[in-house]
This record gives sequence, structure tokens and C-alpha cells, in this order.
Amino acid sequence: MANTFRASQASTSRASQASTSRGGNNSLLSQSSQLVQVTAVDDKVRSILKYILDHSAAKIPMKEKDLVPLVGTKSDLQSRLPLVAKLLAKRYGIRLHQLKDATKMYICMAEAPMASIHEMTPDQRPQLTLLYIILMYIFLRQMRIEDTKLYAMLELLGIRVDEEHAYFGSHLRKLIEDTFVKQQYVKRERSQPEGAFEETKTYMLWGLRAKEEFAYEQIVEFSAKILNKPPSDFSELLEVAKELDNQES
Amino acid sequence: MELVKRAFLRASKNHSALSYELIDQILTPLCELHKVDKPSNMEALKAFVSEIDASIRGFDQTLVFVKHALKNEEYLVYAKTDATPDTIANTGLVAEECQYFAKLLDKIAGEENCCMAWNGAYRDLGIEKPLKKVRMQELIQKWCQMGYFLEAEDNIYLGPRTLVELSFYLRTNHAENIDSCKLCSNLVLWDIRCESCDIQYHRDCIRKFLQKRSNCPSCNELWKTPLRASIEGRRSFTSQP
Repeated sequence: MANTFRASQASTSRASQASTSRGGNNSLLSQSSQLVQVTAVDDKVRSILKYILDHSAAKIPMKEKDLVPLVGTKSDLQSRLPLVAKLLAKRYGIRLHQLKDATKMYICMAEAPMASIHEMTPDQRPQLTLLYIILMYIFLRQMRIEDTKLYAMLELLGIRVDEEHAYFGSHLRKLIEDTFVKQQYVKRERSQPEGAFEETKTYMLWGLRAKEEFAYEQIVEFSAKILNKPPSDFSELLEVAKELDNQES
Repeated sequence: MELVKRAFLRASKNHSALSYELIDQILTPLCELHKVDKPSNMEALKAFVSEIDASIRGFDQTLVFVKHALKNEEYLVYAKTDATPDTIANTGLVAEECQYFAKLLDKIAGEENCCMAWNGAYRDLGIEKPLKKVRMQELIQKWCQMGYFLEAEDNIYLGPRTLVELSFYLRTNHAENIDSCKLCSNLVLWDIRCESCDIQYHRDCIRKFLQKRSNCPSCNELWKTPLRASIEGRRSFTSQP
């Protein structure tokens, strides 16, 4: 599993590609362009930065309405965010990113992938592996799959979401449906029933954070490793993945 | 090298308390990936960490080494310099869980050797809405992993991150049990005492002091306590069940 991780992490993540192609924090700069930007570190800048450092570990998006009370007004916040983003990048290598299609929500991402699994705590490693498996399966099913079918696939791998697993641990349903969703790695959508007797179905998709942090190519390469197959067996999938990655960047 | 420093800082913040073994496990592949030389000895590593520390001090964050006298081990700790027990664990925890942290900290710090039998952590600590035992176990495990507490020999002790982050709080609120080493001004616990006046010092601090003098810096009596750590001496620091 360690070699699999290193191979998948060695490829360039969408996050670090995006920072070159999309100019990193342009979204923050353009929104603040009408405000006079604060360029010196004051107590308000420190408050915002410390709040972000405290909350970045949980990976739950930070909302503007939670940041505003730290400094007073929206303009106090927006005029300082570019400087905060610059300091986070320069000192911590953390990119502060506003989520696309989300109203004023920010996430933190690392500037580069991890070099080894040791950068994660022992609790985090199985969680990331499970996430990769889920994202891989959603991708293989053309980016949208019913939750029941996802759980059936996991069961084929010996992972039952309502039972404790020797490696992945317990409370897996909560991890997938609550934690990964809150962290924006996975998105859940309810379908509208077409007929009177149809049940509502719940679908699982890639979340906004997953789209920012992972490249489809990375997930396909991970799949090849975990299934112990050469990447050439997945050449068609890799082409699809590369095409999707190019479109989105 | 700046990429390596930033990545190492992120990993240190993630782990919160790191042993030398973990530091090496993180740094080796990181330096290989970015094709830079790994800090080759202890001095180089400490200088590397010191540079990172200097870059984050302005935001009330710190990355420092701290000796934990219980097992005579040194840890690298990522800590906040303006933390209090109420603010420490409050990200992602409900009010009762924050309260549990503060009560547990006070209970352990209030014991004679800053040590509590593990089952004491599950007794009623006076929290308004007591937590379930399973949740208490999860939290203690998490806080031990973060370095706030340390489990050893069926007891729970204050951990390396607590010694760094809550130094002022502990000295102020638990002065009867917790004091600073007179030679370096950092917290001193479970370490060596003068046989005459019972004042406690860090082993390394008093060893260095006694290279030039022979008397206790506090009572001026001849220093008689052996400086070598002994198993018997360490056992005296565990609490009675």
C-alpha cells in the first residue's frame, strides 16, 4: 500500500497544476480589486491567518460569514485575504482557494503532494486509501453512481460500511456520507422520482475539493496499482482521464 | 530547500508531536524528492527547525524541540504560543468535549507527580453533560497522538505539546506541583532533584552547571544526587493505583 501511495502521489496533482495554469489565488485578488488591499501584517491579518491555520486540519470549507466576525466587516476581510493567502503560501506552502460554484467558501490545499505516507498520521492513511477507492469507482462509473451500488462494490472488497473493518476502522458510513461530504471530497445528490411508485435515489459524485486536489489521471494510476495491473491495461481510461483533466484545467 | 521546509512544517503541524524516528521518516523521502541534502546531524536539524520556527513566530505558532523527562526522549512539537486549555481542543469539538480536556488537564496537573492512573480519566470529572466512555477513549487517544497527554505504564501524564503550549497556564494555576527549572526557565517535571532542598532541575541543565560548580544553585549545599537516570528513580514518578 505504501508503494501504491508513493506512485499515485508522485504524479502532479491537479492542485499544483492549477496553481500554474489558473494563477493560484486570482479569484481572491479579483474580488478584492475594488477594495484597497492591506499590505502590512496587522492584528486583523493575524486573526484571520490563525483562524485558518486552526481550521485547515479539519478540511471543512471555511465560510466568509465565519471569518467576518474576526475582523469586523466584509471589506475588512476581503481587503486582507490576498495578504493572508500570500503569507500562508510563503510560510506554510498552503494555498487558500475559493471553491468554484460555492458562495464565498474557502478551502486550504497543499502546494505539492506528500512525499510519503509518513506525512499523514496513522489514522489518516486508511481514510485516504478508502477515499481513493471511492473516487476511483465513481470515476469508472462515469462520475455518478448510486450509493447502494457504491456500497455493494465496497462489500466485494470486504468493506462493509456498517461494520468495523480491520484496516479502515469503524463508522465508515458516517465517514463517507458525513465527513467526506463535509470536506467536499464527495457530493451526494438526490434524484427526483420520475413516477409515483419510484423511490428517491441518492447518487455519489466527486466533490469540489476532490476535483481541485486530484487529477483523474492520478486516480486511474492508483487503480492500476491497487489492482496490481500494468497501467497499459488502463490505457483507454487514461486517455479519457487525460482528456477530462485537460478540459477542466 | 524552501519547498522542503514548508512541506516539513505542514507535516509537523499535522502530527503535532514528532519523535526523531518520525522526523527521519518524513525528511528522508522529502529531501530525496526535492533533491536536496537532508540535515546531516543533530546540529543541522536543529538549525533547520529553528529557521522554520522563526518564520511562524509572528503568527503565535512555534516549532520547537522539548525534552520529556519521563522517558528521557526529545520531541519536536508544533504548538501555539497563545493557547489556553479552553481554546486548545475546540476546533471540531463540542462544548462538553472541550470541557473534558480542560478538566482532565487540571486533574493530572493537580496530582503530585502530574500523573493519573488511566481509569481516572473515565471517572466523573464534574462535566455538566458527561460524555460516553467510548467517546472519552477516542478523545484521549487523539490527544495522546497529538502530544497533549502521554500514556505510559497504565498512567496518563502531561504530554510534550502540553509542556510547550500550556507552560504559562500550568505554572500559574498549578504552582504547588509545577515549576520552572531555575537554570533555563522552562517547565521541569519528573526530573532530578537536589537531595538537600528537593528543588527540581532538568538533568541536562544541572549536569552542565555542575561542570564548573559542585553545589546546588538553590540551597548551595553540595550536590549529591546521581546524575545518571536510574529505573528506580523513574518508578518513583508513577502514581499509586
